[in-house]
Amino acid sequence: MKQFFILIKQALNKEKIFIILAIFGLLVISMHYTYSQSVFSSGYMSYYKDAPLEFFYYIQLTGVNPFVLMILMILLPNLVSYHLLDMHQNQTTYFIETRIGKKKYYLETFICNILFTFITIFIIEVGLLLVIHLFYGKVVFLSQNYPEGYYPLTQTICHNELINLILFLNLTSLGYALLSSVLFSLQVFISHKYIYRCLGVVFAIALIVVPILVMNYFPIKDLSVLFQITPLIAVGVEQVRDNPFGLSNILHYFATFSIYTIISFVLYKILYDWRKYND
Amino acid sequence: MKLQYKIFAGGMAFFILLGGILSVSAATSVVNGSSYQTVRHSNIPSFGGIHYQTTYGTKKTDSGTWATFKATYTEALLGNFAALINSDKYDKTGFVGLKSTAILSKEYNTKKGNVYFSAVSSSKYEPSSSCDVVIKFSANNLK
Repeated sequence: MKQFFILIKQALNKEKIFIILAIFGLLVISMHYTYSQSVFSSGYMSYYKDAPLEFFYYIQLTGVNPFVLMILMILLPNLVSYHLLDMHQNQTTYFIETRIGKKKYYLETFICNILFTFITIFIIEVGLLLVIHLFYGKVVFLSQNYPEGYYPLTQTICHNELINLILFLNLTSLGYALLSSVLFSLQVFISHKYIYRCLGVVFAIALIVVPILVMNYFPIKDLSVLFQITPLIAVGVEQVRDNPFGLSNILHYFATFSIYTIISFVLYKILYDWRKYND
Repeated sequence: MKLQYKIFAGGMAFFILLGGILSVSAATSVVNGSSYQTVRHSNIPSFGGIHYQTTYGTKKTDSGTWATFKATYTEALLGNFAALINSDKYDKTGFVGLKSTAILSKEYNTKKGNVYFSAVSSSKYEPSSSCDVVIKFSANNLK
């Protein structure tokens, strides 16, 4: 446990804090751009009381506003994973591996990456909500009943908007943490440090576009849609097609989550075995 | 003036007036909001580009704040998004994902009696700029 906290402390250095702050700054700028380009800038915010909360979800609608996803995906490999790759290539991990054992070191770094990403994304999302509340419009939870046929972005998981927001923040952070764990293990294939730093963006675009483009080649089309990462990064917000197999938003999230959990563990095993037998 | 000239001048005036009316009605085809307006958006620009269609409009006939959209034909696998606009191409609703079932979108600053049009955007990841979509839309709540 003590060593685990040492690893978390190791992940929190000045460079990381600077990267997180820079990413947050970029997110705020991109959010303002989205605001100025959308209907929200034309008095919509003051006309509808639930519009500020709706705007928070609207910026996560990746098909219309890809900035939040792209910027956060730049952050993911740079939190903990890059640090491990850098140390591995400088051969400074050998001392730790000798002291606490390779298996324990890799496993604790893997878990540390997931926890650190979860906490960071959660804080960033809450920060964005706070910026909206302070500078764009007061965030209120009305939990209104809407007419049939309207898909309220503020009620994608449940009718109560406060509970919906809490669930959304947690599930989204967990989704990003899972993607971060997949990226963590991909360093076995991408060993160039600077390419690895930018890998998150390419990875995100590929996992949004490819499952849909190859959909028609699958015997069951809905199976391909389950590989798309959009529910992981914004539960139920992207609504350009019906959920696969008629699943609800939350079940769609957990189905995709299960798939990527398996992928993550398989990739971790490949990474660990490669480093164990080839170092 | 001879009677023949009078008939000729009157006839010409009638045909000019008729031509004018026909050309105006061809420039903008407006349907009442109580039923769907059908419009084809062709060659929607790639990577989230917006295609505006200000020829086929819908006249708002209710006092509600809901617009209705429905896709009847789509080509882009990554989907399309639609919004209600006015003749100056200002958004009157946010962009909503198009589906084959009718969906509602919240309007802002729309008035009964005004004519509105549609805009369709591609997904920000859509590489093709030759996708078409046919939508049915209305400035009224048709659900």
